Amino acid sequence: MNRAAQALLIVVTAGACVSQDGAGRASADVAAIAAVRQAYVDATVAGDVPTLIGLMTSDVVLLPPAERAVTGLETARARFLWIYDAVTVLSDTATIEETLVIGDWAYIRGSYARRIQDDMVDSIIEDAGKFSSMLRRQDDGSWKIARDMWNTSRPPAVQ
Amino acid sequence: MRIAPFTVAAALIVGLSCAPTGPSTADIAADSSAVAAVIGKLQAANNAGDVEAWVALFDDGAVYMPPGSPAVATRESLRQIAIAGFGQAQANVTLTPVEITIAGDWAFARVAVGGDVTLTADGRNLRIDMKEIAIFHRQSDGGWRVARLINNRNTE
Repeated sequence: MNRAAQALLIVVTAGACVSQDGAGRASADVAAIAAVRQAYVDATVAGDVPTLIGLMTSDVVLLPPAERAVTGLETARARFLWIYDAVTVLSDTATIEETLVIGDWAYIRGSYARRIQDDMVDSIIEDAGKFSSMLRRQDDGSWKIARDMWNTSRPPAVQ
Repeated sequence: MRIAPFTVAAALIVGLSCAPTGPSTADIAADSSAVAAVIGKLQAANNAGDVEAWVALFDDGAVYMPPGSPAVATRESLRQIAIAGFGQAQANVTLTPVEITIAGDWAFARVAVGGDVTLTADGRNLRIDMKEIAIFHRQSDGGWRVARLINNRNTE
C-alpha cells in the first residue's frame, strides 16, 4: 500500500468512530422500541392500565388532543382510569414509520387507526391519525415512553 | 496488502480517540439557546405571515403532522400549508419552549402555543391554545432546523 492510500486509511478511520457492534445494537434498539409500542397498543385494547403505566417513564408527559398535557405516572393513571370508565377500545393499530435512536433517546413517528365504543352514549367512534413519541433508555437497557403526542388526520366536522 | 507500522499506530490512536466525549454544560446551554432561537423565528414568521421565512426554518425532508390532515413531507407541501394558513388569518401567537433536550446533533422541544388569530374572511378573533413537539436537526453550518413537527389543541 502506498503512502497516499495509507493516509486515506487514516482519514477514513478517523471519520468512522463506529463501535464494532454499532449496527447490531441499533437493530436491537429498533426492535425493542417497536415491541414497546406494540405492548402499548395491546394494553390499550385490553384496557390494561397497570401495563400502560409500566411502559412509561416516571416523568412521562402525555399530550393528547383536546386535553392539556398529562404529566407524571399518577396523573396518567388517573386519566386512563377515567377514560376506560367511559369507553371500550374495540381495536387499535399503530404503524411505526420512522425510528430515530440517538444515544439514550429515541424518537418514533407513525400512524394509528382505532375504533372506540363510547359506553356513555352507546356509539362507535372511528379515528385514524399520526403520533410522535420520545422514548428513553432505562438503566437496565429497556426503553420506556417519555413523551407521547398524537392527532387525527381526519378533517374537522363541518358545522 | 501490507500496512506500514505507522499506519497501524495511527489507526489505533484514532480508534482510541473515537471514544465518545460528552458535550460540556456550556455546549448544551448554547445548543438549547440556539434551538429556542429557532422557535422564536417560527413565532416571528407566523405573526408576520412570512411563508418563505417559515418554510426556511424546516430541514430538507422535514415532516409536519398537523391536526385534521395527513402528514406532509416535502418543502412544497409545507409552503402550501403556510400559504393557506397565513392567507386565512393574521396571527398574534406566542411559542414558548416548555422543555428542550439536546441529544448530539438532534434536539427535541415541547412548545406551548398561545395567543390568537384574526380571521381574514370576517375579522373574527379566535383564541389559540395548543401544544407541540418539535424535533430539530443540527445543520452542517452548526445551525438548527425543524425536522419533525406535530401539534394539537388543548381543548375541543
